[in-house]
Amino acid sequence: MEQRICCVCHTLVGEDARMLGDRYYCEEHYAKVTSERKGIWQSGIAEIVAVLLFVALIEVIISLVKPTLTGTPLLLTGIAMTLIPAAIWMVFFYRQDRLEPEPKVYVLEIFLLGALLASALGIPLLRDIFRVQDWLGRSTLINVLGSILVIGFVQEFLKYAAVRYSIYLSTEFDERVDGVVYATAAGLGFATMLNINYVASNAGVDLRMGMIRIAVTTLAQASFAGISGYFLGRAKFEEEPVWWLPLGVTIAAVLNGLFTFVRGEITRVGLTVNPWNGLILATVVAVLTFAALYYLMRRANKLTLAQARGA
Amino acid sequence: MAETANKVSRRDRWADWAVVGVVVAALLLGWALKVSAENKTLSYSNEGITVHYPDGWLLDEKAGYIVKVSDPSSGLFRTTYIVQMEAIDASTAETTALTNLLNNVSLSRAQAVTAYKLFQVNQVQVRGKSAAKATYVYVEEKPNPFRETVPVVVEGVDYAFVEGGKAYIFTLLAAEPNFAAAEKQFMSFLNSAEIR
Repeated sequence: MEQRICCVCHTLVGEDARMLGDRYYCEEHYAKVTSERKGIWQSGIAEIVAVLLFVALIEVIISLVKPTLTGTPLLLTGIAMTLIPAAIWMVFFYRQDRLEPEPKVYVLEIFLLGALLASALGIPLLRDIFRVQDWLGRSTLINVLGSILVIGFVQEFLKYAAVRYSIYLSTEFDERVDGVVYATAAGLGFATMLNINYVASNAGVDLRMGMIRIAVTTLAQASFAGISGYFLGRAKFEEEPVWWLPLGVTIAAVLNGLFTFVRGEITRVGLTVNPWNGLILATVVAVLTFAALYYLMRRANKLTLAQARGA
Repeated sequence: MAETANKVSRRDRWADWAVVGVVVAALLLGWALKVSAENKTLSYSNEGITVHYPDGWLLDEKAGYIVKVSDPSSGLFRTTYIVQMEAIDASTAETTALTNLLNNVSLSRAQAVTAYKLFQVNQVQVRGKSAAKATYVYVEEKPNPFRETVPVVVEGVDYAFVEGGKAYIFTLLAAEPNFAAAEKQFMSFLNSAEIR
């Protein structure tokens, strides 16, 4: 006889066990899987607003104080700035997530895993193996295709892998929305390491330009990671087809690549650079992505609840 | 890390492999795109020579050479190819004349750049004929005229040969860390040049 086990905790469940698709659930995890956790979405929006406010604050401070940092103080200030967007998200996330908090240490571990993967694989693959800086700008077509096929897929696969091969199989990943939570943490870790690498390789950065770049990278990497996270969340709790996860990574990679290309195009104005255009683009992308994910997650939960009522 | 309930269905495993397959396929396509972009060339003709230089490089027609192209994405010092035509002494043997030619070019360069050091001038074969090859190094003190930067150690090589009754010098200049990689591409630039 077929053994019925909960697809989250793998405990045996009875004949009358709840099902989604053809997966069985214990009562506890069936109740959890459709949790909407509004706090998560609120912390996402708060992150976007807070990062923009932080850029504005830095702009005001620079205008008033006109700091003339050089050498080690400039480098340390730049590195401190790279940590601020992730810290803001953590603060908002835990303030909003009080009722059903994800274990802090796991979210932090996924954040660090994202950062490690960026440092150990993401940056070396793009800079030293594919050497994208040498050939990506040769034509518009090469730029678009290269941004998607190389930058998009490398970055999005690593963020996906940070979640899929760690927390995904654990019993702590017990709600659909956990996919978005943990993938966003991985994306923030990935972005933080990209930003640290940028600051360190330039031995410090102009504070105004640096802050905008840090904000843009953070918003974009977290948003695209959220897309893979949505697909992961659905894949764990429903019987999705084999192409479901590849589709999620591909959508994230395509959007990442297109963003990389468009940002490059709109921030270059003749021989000068206008980073504010990149910030506007990143903000729009982040807001639209989180709104789309919120809508899709709510719709999936409603369908599940309707299905449960029907049964 | 959290307690792992490591039970994955067959469909999940297939989905995992499908993700890996899609990513590998994308990266292979990306690699093919990289190779195609790096091997794509543009043509330029001047004074009876047609050269095929990498797409994306900058052509400087006002530099006073037959050809001067540089790679804008190669860092602080741009990897540069130069082609020039020089008169040689027709009364001496060709190998001696080419060696003397490179020695003269070397003397001029020594006066124009900082910490110039000529490694050696020797005889080699290029384009199926005998040629003189000079290798050298110098310091580019101000690689970017628009901002303060550290000086760059530049490695260079000149190939001089006679073709169609004229002597040509093909030069490669690159920042020392980039030189080895640049030399391979430079040799295909040299060998693909059409001299009438």
